[in-house]
Amino acid sequence: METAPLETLELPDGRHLLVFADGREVVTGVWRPHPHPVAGWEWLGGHRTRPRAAARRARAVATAPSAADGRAVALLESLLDAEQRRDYRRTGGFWVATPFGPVRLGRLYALVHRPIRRPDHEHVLCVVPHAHRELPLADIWTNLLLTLAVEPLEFFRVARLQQVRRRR
Amino acid sequence: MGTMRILDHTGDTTITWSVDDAESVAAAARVFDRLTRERKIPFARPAGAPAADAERIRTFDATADEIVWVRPVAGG
Repeated sequence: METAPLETLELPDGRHLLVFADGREVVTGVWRPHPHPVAGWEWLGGHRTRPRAAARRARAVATAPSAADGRAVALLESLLDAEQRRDYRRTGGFWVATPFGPVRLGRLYALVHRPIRRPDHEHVLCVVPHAHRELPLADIWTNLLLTLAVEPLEFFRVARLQQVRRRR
Repeated sequence: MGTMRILDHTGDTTITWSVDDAESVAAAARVFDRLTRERKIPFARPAGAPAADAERIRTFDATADEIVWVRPVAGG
């Protein structure tokens, strides 16, 4: 018999994230257009208006790694320690230690911070480099990684708090 | 040989210099000054060192192995 979720979180796009006691996470519902959380900005790629099959074909072309992506990933990986590199290659994200608690890079506009002062909570932050949309994604992580590692005060000074949630 | 890496749409643009070549050092110093005026932020690191070993620099250091230029960050 299916167990009831431990927690249900409403996502910004109208869907729901169900968190179960055994660690499973399930997203339910239908995506709907929604505004970008940063005032004045738009989502990369815009909203989907084409039929699904056409969108899939287009995505297959668009997601092929470019030379710029390759350079950006190589630079980023050269700045990671061994554990961060393993994590990045496996999950696309990694933790960065700071005096204020670790921050996870890997999900644009939704960076998880585990504050030292609130060990049972997580903060979801939005921080991006200036004109970040012209950078390959790995360059964005390089930018945020160096800022966090060397000048964490500046990172937290500008960070926008999106959500506070209980740690799982 | 020192290297500057400036994050951009190509991944990064690389500028190199050699401490034995005064002209290349002067050219790199000019790029450093220009990027500083553009409010970009330089972090120096020993060759191959992780981000935790990087340091923010304020003036051009011709003895640095690598200088990575990043952009100011902002929240929403």
